[in-house]
Amino acid sequence: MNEEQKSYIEIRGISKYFGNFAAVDKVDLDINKGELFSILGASGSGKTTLLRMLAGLETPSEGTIKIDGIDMTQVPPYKRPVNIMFQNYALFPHMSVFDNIAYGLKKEGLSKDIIEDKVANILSLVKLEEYGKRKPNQLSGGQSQRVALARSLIKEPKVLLLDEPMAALDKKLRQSTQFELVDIQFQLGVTFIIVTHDQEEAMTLSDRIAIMEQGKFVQIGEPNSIYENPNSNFVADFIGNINLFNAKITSTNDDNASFYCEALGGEIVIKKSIQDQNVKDVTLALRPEKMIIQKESPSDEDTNFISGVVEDFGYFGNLSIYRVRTNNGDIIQVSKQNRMRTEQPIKWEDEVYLSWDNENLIILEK
Amino acid sequence: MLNKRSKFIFSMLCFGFAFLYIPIALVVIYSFNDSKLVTIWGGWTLKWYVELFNNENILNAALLSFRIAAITATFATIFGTMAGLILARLKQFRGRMLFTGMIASPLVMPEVITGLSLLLLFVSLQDLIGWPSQRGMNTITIAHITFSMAYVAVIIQSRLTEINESLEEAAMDLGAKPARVIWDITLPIIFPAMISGWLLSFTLSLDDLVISSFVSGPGSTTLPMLIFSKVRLGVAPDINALATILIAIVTIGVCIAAAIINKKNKN
Repeated sequence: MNEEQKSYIEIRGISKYFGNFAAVDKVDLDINKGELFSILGASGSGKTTLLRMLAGLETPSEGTIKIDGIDMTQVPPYKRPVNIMFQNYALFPHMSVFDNIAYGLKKEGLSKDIIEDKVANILSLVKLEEYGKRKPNQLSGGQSQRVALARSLIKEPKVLLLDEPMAALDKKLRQSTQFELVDIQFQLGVTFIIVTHDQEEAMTLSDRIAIMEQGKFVQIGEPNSIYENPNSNFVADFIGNINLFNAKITSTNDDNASFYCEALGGEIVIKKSIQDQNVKDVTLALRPEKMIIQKESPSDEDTNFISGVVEDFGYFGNLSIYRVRTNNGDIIQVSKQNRMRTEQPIKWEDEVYLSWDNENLIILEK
Repeated sequence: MLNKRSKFIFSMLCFGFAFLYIPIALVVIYSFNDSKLVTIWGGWTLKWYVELFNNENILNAALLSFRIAAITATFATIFGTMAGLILARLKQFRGRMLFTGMIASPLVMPEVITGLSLLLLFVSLQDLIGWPSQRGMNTITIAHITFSMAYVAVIIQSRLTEINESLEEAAMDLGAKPARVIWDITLPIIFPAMISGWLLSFTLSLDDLVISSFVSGPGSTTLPMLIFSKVRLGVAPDINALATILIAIVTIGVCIAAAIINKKNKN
């Protein structure tokens, strides 16, 4: 990301109060042109309210929104260069697919020929050439979604807002649609802002993700950095599966920090210095796929390992997820790629050893 | 084969229909009764219908009632739709509670009170500004609009709360100004509800006796008022004929409305 380039969407100190409740609480955000940006959060985190403020459907209680350098804070929705695709698609039930898509162009007062041309183009972009005459209630969920997408793209908005675009689709369809959406976004170069509660969706689609909780952003970054370097317990727990362990800092110097972590079998040394001398209690986090589970004790003396008993496991075909009860009584989740067809699987009550590389431990200050 | 449970349900259905429709069927049958005494069967005839169409009083009253009902239904639908839109879509404004209560009050207010208060209003208006100079069709129509629009408002409001607001937001997002959104999106979607509101107001107005009696004047006798005054002198067979015609009109009206709404929904 180029620092000198001015950001395309500038959100400064935006808040939205409903009574005394702050749905969105003094949020700052910069989004670049052509970016596919996701706002990820649980329901009630304020993500939809933020999106609606971008569309102009809610008026911010305070703060400003600039799009392409122009202040949009008080501009009504029908004058913003922004379009939104609603979660329920909001297709007009009394209009045909063609009329639904053409609605925005008709309001611009374009001539009939141009409208017909543009609608035909966008229908072929979303692969619904034959469906112009249908009514919304004659469409499947996937088709409705494409019509909604076409309708919100037809005016070539500077920014397209998508509210839970995949929530109403079944899983198979969702995956193929995700790729198509990225494809369309790439073709048109429109800036997309997607609001979702589905972390998988956010991870696969986005250039960057903002994680929202109680009206505030807790972390903003690329999918990979959010997954591998979460900045808080909340984010670590929210994105993917993770094991969290309580630990105490025993000593720290310029290169290393030593921890005492009972759940991980005692002394742990990580090549990272802790600047803040006051921090004593931390959480060590370890992703399930970054551990190795095996029946034999690791032969290497230097390897960290603990032993335990398989309490439960789930077989997913490509991988298996194990819940292992360690000798301390903690439950640790480990996932394992099923690499060999002929492998003797690890089962319930099996005595197992879990090993890991200390560099994979994430240190989270409390 | 009917099992025990469905036999029970079936008999309840028959009972329900009998309860609702036997009185009406009796009226229809007796309208063809060739006997001056209402309760004694004297063979088939159409003479009461002939007599009815020769009775200018009844025809005038019917004409007046239908004119009042049509005007009432139209204005009640317009005002009621506006009120329903406000109730369903304007979440916060000054006096919302008061407005909600005022809309609902004609539904729960005893008709006698509504009639009396409207009469008082018209009389004092006449004293103050000289209008209405005479009570008659105008005052009856105004009175009917005031209570009918409350019913329309409730119908429209409940229909609108079923419709997701994002439809209107989507239209606005696509560049339609709020007034345009109502015309393009909201009204077409609530059109069936408006038709049922119109029909309901029409029926309410046609049916109303109490309020009309309060606010009517000389020479403005509506059909229910006429029927009521006739029945006080004993049930005459020509009233049965009149009732049969009314039943036929209402049935046809309801069927047409149902057909329109069905067609609208199918598209």
